[in-house]
This record gives sequence, C-alpha cells and structure tokens, in this order.
Amino acid sequence: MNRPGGNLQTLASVALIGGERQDLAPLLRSDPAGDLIRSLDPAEHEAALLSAAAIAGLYEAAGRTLSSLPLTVLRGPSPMETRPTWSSLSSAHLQEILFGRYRQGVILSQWLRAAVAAGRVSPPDLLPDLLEAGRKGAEVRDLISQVIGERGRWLAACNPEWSYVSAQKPSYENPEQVHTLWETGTRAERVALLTEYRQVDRAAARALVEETWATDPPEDRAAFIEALRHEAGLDDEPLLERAQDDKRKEVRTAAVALLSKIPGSKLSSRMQDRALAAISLKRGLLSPEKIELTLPAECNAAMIRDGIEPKSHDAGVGERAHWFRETLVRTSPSVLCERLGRTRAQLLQMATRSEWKVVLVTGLKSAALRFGDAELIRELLRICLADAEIMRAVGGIRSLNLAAVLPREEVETIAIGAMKSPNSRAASHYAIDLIITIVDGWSIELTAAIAGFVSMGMNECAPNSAEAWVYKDILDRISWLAPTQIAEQVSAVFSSKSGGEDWQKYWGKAVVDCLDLLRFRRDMITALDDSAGEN
Amino acid sequence: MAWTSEQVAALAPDAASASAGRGLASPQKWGVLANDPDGRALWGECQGSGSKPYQVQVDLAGPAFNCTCPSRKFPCKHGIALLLLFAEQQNKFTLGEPPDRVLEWLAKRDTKAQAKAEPPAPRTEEDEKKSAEAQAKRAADRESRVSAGIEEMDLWLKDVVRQGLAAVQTRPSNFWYDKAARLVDSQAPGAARLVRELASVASSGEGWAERLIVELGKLHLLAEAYRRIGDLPDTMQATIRTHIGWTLRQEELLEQPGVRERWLVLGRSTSEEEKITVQRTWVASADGSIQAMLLSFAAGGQVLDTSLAPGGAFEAELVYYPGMLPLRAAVKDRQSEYQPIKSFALPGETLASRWLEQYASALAMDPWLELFPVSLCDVTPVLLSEEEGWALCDGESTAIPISPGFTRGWQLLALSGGSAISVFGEWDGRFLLPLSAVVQGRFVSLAPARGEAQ
Repeated sequence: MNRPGGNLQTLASVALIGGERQDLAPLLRSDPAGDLIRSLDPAEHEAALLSAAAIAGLYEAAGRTLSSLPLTVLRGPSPMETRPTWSSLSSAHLQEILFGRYRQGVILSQWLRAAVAAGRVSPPDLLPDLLEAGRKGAEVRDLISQVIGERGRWLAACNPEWSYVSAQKPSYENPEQVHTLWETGTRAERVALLTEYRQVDRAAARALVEETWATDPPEDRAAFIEALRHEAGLDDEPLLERAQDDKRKEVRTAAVALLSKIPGSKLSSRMQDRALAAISLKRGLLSPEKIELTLPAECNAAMIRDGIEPKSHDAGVGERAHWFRETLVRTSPSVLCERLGRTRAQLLQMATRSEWKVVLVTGLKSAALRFGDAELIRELLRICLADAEIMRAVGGIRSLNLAAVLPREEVETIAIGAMKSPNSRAASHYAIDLIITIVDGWSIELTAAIAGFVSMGMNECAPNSAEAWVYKDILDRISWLAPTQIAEQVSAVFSSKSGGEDWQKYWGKAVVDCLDLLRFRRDMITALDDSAGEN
Repeated sequence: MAWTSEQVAALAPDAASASAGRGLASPQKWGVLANDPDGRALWGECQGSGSKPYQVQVDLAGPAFNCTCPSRKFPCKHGIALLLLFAEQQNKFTLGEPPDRVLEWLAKRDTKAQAKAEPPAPRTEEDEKKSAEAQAKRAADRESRVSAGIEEMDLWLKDVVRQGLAAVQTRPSNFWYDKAARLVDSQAPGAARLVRELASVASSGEGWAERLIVELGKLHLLAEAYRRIGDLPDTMQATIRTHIGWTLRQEELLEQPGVRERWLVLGRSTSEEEKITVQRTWVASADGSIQAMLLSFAAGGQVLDTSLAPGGAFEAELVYYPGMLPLRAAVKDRQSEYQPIKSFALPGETLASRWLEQYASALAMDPWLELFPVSLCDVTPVLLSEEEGWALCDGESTAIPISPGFTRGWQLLALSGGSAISVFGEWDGRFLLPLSAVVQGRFVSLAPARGEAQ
C-alpha cells in the first residue's frame, strides 16, 4: 500500500506522546493533505492535530492503492469434473450428518459409501467441510478422497493440512518407489505401506523390514513384525527368530505371537510338545475317558523365551496350572486333536470330566480364538449351552466372540434361534450378547428378528431396570445397523406398540429417535440411488 | 418461480431454525401436504410433541408464514420445513382447493396490504397548529442538548490528545463507554456509537495509533461541522445530523419521492450494537448504476425481517434518506413480491482501480462513511499466506485484501476453482468483507454457515 508522504505516521507519533507543543508544519510533506494541514491555526494545538489527523486519514483512505499480486501465488484453474455432482437434497443430508442431528461417524461412512457407489462427487460448496472431516477422521479419509472429485483434489493441493489426499500411493510394480517410500515415510506411512505390500508380495515385504532392521527403533520393529501377520509362513521364520531374541520386550512379544501361529515352526513344535507332555488320557474300568494333567514343574528360560508369561494374573488358577494353560493356549487345536487322535468334541468331553475342567476349557477357548478354530468354538458353544457352570467359567457367550470366528450367516442363525427360543431368561441374555457383537452388515432377517425381540422385551421388562437399558441400547443399534430397506417394517413393529402413558414416557423418545435415524438413512440412500440413475 | 433449498434456508431467522426446519422436512412427519393450482399457497399439518398436529400455511407471494405452534420465531421451523419440502419434493404435495382457514388468512393479508396503501385520516387545523408548536419546542430542546453534548465531547477529544495516545491505550473499555453513555443522554446516539467504536480501535493491534488518531480526528471534524451547521448546504446538514444521531420519522421520509426500480438483493450482513441487532440489506438496480442499503433492527428477543433474501429481486419505490451520499433508503411502496432469481448476473466493476475511485468520491461526500458496497466481477480468490490471509485478484493482478474476520475463504476458493467469479461485499477502507458470490449464474450467500458460530 502506498503511503502518501508519511503525514499520518508523523501525526500519530506526535499524538502518542501528547502534551508537546510541536509545530507540525516542517514535518509535513507537500501534498494536498499537507498543504491543507499547514493552513490550520497552530495556536489551537490539539484541535489542529485532530483536524490534521482527519485530513491525512481521509486523504490516505481515498487515495488508497492496492498492491499487485506476486504471480507465484496464482494457481491455474482446476481440471473439469469427470463425474456428476450429487443433488442438493443429498448435500442437505450430508450437512445434517456433518453438523446436524445425525453426527455419528458410522453414518458418515455409510453415506460416503453410498455416494461412491452412485458414482457422484461433491459440489464445490461442501469441499472444505469434507476435506476437514477427512483430516480429523482417518477412518473416512479413503472414502472422502473418492468423492471429492477433480475440484476437491485441486483444492486439497492448496492447503498443506489436506495433503493426505495426495499422499502418495506407490505403484507396487515399481520397487524403487516402494523403497523410497519405505526409507522416507513416517511410522504410520511405513506400516500402511508394509501391510498393503505384504498382500502383493510376501517375501519382498519381509525383505523391506530386514533391510532397515538394524537401525529402526524398537517401537517400529514391533509394529512391522505385527504388520507381517498376513499369511505368515515358514519362510518368515528366520526374521521372526531373530526378533524373538531382540533386546526389547515388545519386539519379542510380537515375534512369538506370529511364530506360535505358523504351523511347523520350531516354536510351535516346542509348544505342542510341552502341552502334550502334560496331557494324558485316562480311561477307568467303568468310567469314560478323561484328561489327566501332569503340570509343568517350572517355567524355565526357554518357556519364557517362547512367550509364556511366568506370572499368573488369574486368582482362581495356581501357578503351575497357569503355566500349563499358557502352553495349551499357544497350541493349535488341530495339531492337538491330531496328536491325541481324538475329535474336538471328544477332546472337550474329556476335558469336562477332568479335575482340571476349568483350566482345560478356558485354555481351549483361548486357543480356539487365537487360531481361529471355528469347529472348536462350535463345540464349546454346545457345551456351554448345556452346562451353566462351564458357561460361567468361560465367561459367558460374549467371551466366545462368535462373530470373530464363525461365518456371519452362522452367527445370525444362532442369534435368531436364540431370540425365538421359548427359554426366556437365559436365551434372552445369550441372544443379547450375540447381537451386541455383530457391528456391521445386519441382514433383513436378523433385523426383523431383533425388532420383534426388542419389542417384546420392552413390554415385559420394568422401566429403568438394567434390562431396559440394554433394550434401549439395542434400539439405538437398530437405528444405525438395520438395512434401510426394512425401515417401514421396523416402524410398523414399534408403532403398533403404543402402550400406556408410562410406557410412552419411558420408551417414547427412544423409539422416535430410532425410527427417525432409520428413515433418515433410508432417505439419504434413496436420494443418492435416485441420482445414480439420472445424469 | 422455483425455490431452491439454499434460498429457503436464507429465510430462516437463525441457523438453529434452519437446522430444525431441515429436520422436519421429511414427508412422514406431515399428515397433510397440499398446494393450490394458482401457485399462491401451501398448507400442511405437522405432528409436533403435543396431541394435535400443527396447522402450517405459506403464502408464496411474500413469502409469508403462519403456524399454530407456540414458537416465537418467525418464520417458525414448521414454515421453513413446509417450504423446503415444496422446493425439494413437490411431487409429495396434493393439488387442491385451500381449506377455509388458509383462504381467510390470505384474504386478511390482502386487505392489510391494501389498507397500508390508503392515506390516513386528515386532521383539523387546530390539531395541526398545536402539534407543530409542540414539535418546534421539542426540536429546540433537543438542539440545545445535543449541542452541549457535542461540545463536551470535543473538549474531551482535545484532552485525550493532550494526555497522549499511549496513556489512553491502556485504559479499560469503560473509559470510552462512559463517554458514549453521556452522548446518549444528550440525545446524540450516532456520535455515541462512534465513540464506542474507539474502544476496539485502541486495541486493534499493529498500527492502532494511526487508526485511533484518525478516528479521533474525524469525531472532531464532526463536532466542528455541527458548530457551523447553519452555514452549510442542506444535504451536508442532513449528513451531519444523521451521523450525530438524528433520525428521520418514517412517515416524513416516505412522503418524499422515491426511485422506482427492480432491485436486486446483492448481500446482507448483521452486527450487534449494544443489545440491538442491525441488519444491512444491500440492493442495486440491474445495471448496478443505483445502489441502496436497507437497515432493519431487532432488539432483545425480536426477530429480524429476513424476507428480502440475497439472490432475489423485487420491484419497489425506495426513498433515500437525505444526505450528501445517497445510500441508506427505506421501502415506500412494493410493486411486486420478492422472487428468488435462478440465474443471477451481478452488476459490478471488473477492476479494483475503478471501484476505488468510486469509493474516493463517496468519502468526499461523506467523510464518516463506514461501509461501502462493492461489486466485483471477474475476480479470483487467492490465499496470500498464513499471516496475510485471503484476497481477491482482479484483471490487473491487483490484490484486494479480505477481512481477517471472514471465515469462508476455502468455500470461496472451492467455488471458484481457480477461475474468475463475481463477489459482493462491504469495504471498510482497509478490508473487503465478502457477503455473496455468483459463480456461473449461481448465487451463493457467504453468511456464516452451520457448524460455525454466528
């Protein structure tokens, strides 16, 4: 900005000090403002200063010229969009999700996925908000990058805070690129790179880790070992054994976790031998087969090196029993069954007849989860349902974590069966435990069963009881997990249940909120689907 | 005349109402959704938290809203929702004849509009004489009070200068506000407001001393002008009186001849002044040659009239408040209803240098001018740097600095995509505050958005 003659600066510095009877005239430049100021009566000192300031200020404001832009700051225009934008109705929905009533992150993900499926991109107005949402929430970053379009990528390039959009994804065909990123990336970037690369070329991914092993810090080393879990095999054994003797515990822990799961690895063989050494099958004259245990006498260095925790944190289990259980947990159930020559069902039967029932069953449960052994989990489920003591010992249905091990359809079938079961109390709890573990992709059948189940439960339980809270929680889950096609059916189930005033007072809002969100999700998907057809 | 979601949202009195209206804009919440074949009215029934559904109606010629809900906001969230539904999902409405309650309401509105156009009953000569005398006395009283207040203010200004600005900068804001209160007591509220503004100038950071001495100087100029007001031409007198705080009675003003035009609504801004919300609506003729600013106020719980939303037009006769620089105006007579415009052409300058010349002329006419309307065509938003903030770049590569308080720089850049757009805003002598943008005919309001503080 051009300053005409510096009159104003002069006046301001005089005014700052105050009180001084300074003659302004010689300080002023000769421009029309200065000339006018000179004509003021100097005897009225303060008035002259004030008038002079007004004159100089107005002169400057009126004569203001603006500076030119350095050409480097200007960016070229963004490329044209290749895909159509979504409708203004969809924009309104998205704003509801970002700022309004439906702010849960899972709703945003659902909306974004539908937008991607509809092949639509954002209109310019919403881009800054979307890019910010991606900056703050790493879980939606990938989806957001897919809906911002050309304009969005152009805009992101203008702001270093949005650099995640253009974060380089290497072409895995190009080993040089991969190496460069491996050497220059942050830990998070390297872990992401490694995880993806491992799916493309197992050996090459491992080679990357080995390359910088000597100089990488221990937290990185532990994270990298963990990232190699995809299809861990015998060719990984050398690196993992090296890691097993690492100075730092977190690296050793990550290494033994993987080694124990690799069939045929030396560690897993040692572990299996230890477990089997303790187990013997005893059949009495009149009694069926059962397991007898010879508990390990010590927890030696070799056992600790292989990952066994020397200290038990379980008050109900003695030290030696704990060591045995540790070996059992790290033994693959298929190998166990093979070496003992028994089926899983037989194994569990024999375990329940043993005096070490609890140790064996809890150990087998943990092994089943660790090795993802669906068959053993199924057998465990059967036994737990039949025997309440075992169910308690194992820690309830929830701890069986069925959803993690069994195929989805099977879990749903079990859940639906439990909900329809006439055996009210126990089956209810069991059904609820199952429902809570399924956190995505509810099918229409499952939803219909849950809606009916909750509706019945709402009528039978007492308001403000613990049970009522659970049903409210499930109502909430229905709102964001139910497939939207079923919205009207769910609404019908609950609106027919307008009970008395008390019921309305306690359940009214929860039901209204649930149906609101459900319908909103349906509307938002419909709006995007509709536009997918048109152009 | 198609309404868009954005235009409807612009009618909401605040962001909370807009959001609530959006939440109600699903057909399931409405028992009845209908419109009449003439395209004048919408009506519907919306289930609220009470037992009976609320009856909502909208007069599209206006637009005007009526609802049986107890909300004090205007328009209420039900009205907004109904109009939103009409804008987005018209196919969910049934066509039909309006029920009686709607017809009665429309008829009442029509007779009210007519009554406004009729002249008031004449008064007797005796009444006229008495009221003229009383008025003259009141005017004389006020002149002397104001005169005393202004003189006191001028002495105070000189005192501040004598103490030196450095001494004054550290004073708490009461130092300024107390002086302002005295001017209010002297019936010079305009001068009081200018004094209040000094408090923020004193704490405005780098360059504050220059800015403060200039503002003090301008107040002194105002006092000097008022002393000699009798010797000055009529229009200058009017300007001075306006800045000191004389207000003209609406009836007097509206007796003057006005300017008949089709007015485009270019932008709107609000500010808080001593518990009163002030709303400035900027309008211009289609070619941009005539501009005007409409002021409205809301005190305490009152709600502003937001019917003239930026992005539309209306035909009316506007009367300018007297003064050297014709800017503030009032609506004398509406010839047509407000209508949103689908493809907007912003009338304006393409080069900053031309607009700065206009600003200089305006300052010459009214040295106490605070906000000047600026329409710029073919400018590109640019981020200068983290510290310098945003600017608009014109065809001569001139950088027009944008106010640091502007929060929607990224939206502006996203809308432009590096290409030239049109922007309308308020210039305060240092910075431009963008209020609206037009991108390929599409009008976008840049008022604070949802998710931001108002």
